[in-house]
Amino acid sequence: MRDNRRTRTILGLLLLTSLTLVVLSLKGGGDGARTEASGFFGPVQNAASAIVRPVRDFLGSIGSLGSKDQQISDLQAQVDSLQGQLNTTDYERNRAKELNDLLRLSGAGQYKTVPAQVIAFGPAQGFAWTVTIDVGTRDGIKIDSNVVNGQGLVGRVVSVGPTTATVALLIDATSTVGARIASTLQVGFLNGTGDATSVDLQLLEPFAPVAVGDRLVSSGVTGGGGVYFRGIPLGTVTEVQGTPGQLTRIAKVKPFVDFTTLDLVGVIVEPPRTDPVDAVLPPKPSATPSGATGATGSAGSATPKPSAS
Amino acid sequence: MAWLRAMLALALVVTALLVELTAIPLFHLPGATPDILAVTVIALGFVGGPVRGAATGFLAGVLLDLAPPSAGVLGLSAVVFVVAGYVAGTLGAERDRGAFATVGITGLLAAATTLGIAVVGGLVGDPRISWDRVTGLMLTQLAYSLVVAAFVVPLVTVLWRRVDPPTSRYELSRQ
Repeated sequence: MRDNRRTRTILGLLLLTSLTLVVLSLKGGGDGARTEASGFFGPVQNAASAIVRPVRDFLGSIGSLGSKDQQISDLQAQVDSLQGQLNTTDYERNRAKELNDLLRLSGAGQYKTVPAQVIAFGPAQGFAWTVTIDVGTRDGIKIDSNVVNGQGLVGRVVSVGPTTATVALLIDATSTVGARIASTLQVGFLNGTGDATSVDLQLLEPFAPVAVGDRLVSSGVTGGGGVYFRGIPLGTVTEVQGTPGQLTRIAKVKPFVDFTTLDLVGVIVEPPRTDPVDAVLPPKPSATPSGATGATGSAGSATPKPSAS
Repeated sequence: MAWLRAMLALALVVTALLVELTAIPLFHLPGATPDILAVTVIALGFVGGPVRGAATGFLAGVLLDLAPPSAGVLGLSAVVFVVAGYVAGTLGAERDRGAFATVGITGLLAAATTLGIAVVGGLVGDPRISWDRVTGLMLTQLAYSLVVAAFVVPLVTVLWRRVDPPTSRYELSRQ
């Protein structure tokens, strides 16, 4: 009985301490503690990531072992090792392609970027879409730095340690980016929903024309969720909800970036000198996505045009 | 021997945290991220009892809330993991139940931590909590945690017994 009371007292104390942390954090504290923690966890995560990646590549290359015959297992081992080399070559090729894309994007946008590797992902059950990258204050990264990859905007830096930084992704529920439709120059705000493949576009003007297939770039307008440079590609409109004139008119937007497979990114350390408008957007597909519209290819490509002109 | 067990718990928690944040995401699994940290806390609760379980949960929650890439409300995971560790501790070690029941309980508890984060986060007004995602996250978490628990719970139990065998103290006192 006495032991039980002691147990409950300790449980109560631990819960009270945790809840105090929650309250302090809600009042705006805790950022300092996170920066301190990243000073320790940053190098550890860097090291863990350096160990984990080759192991993953290696595991991916091992086929099914377990043959009885010695010769078969020898051959199998040889195949595996060759397969392993092939896989790593693929990996290197992918990295080279991602770096090329990044170079193209920063070249077209006249940004100066620092390349970075994603080394850790926040767990999905924490509801926050955040990643750690392997650059920090020592590489000139500051809070609110914009993060891009070869496809478009990835997010912005929300906390920086000496060698690592935490990036809140475009799809995080707290993310708000000033956006502009590239063809009509209509402005609005792109809000993350927590869904990895869809964000919400809210247009400022209720009667603004918006159509499926419209492409968005960042507008440079601050929307309370940090500062983004102009002209960074954001995504494509996939669905328009509500009718023109309705106050809460929302369009669903599919981001250009595939957030579940983020690997190499670039942190913009110097903004473009002139507004790149839509120069950075990927080349528009010649026909509208035939997979989505099916047989009505010509009708599909004709629909978005009237709104654009 | 208390400090040895504390060191083991700390080492296991930090390892689980690193694996969950850096290694597991590379496999691009759909839904939740297999919560190796929660399973480790629950496994340590099983062998350590309610007090050590709650303390381990607190440690694990605070580290998860502080380690990059954490964002948002600090202490949210700590609240939930304290309860998870305590509940696992009151349920007791595996001897009393058998392996299948232990793995099942671990999976259910790990899935319940997802619900716990959503409930506590919703109560304190965390803007990131989206109830549309909770069911999917809980179901995938249950599936992943059952698999993780099948390996992690026996491993933690063996390590715990090795650091502090139940009979060793008697033997030492006799010598």
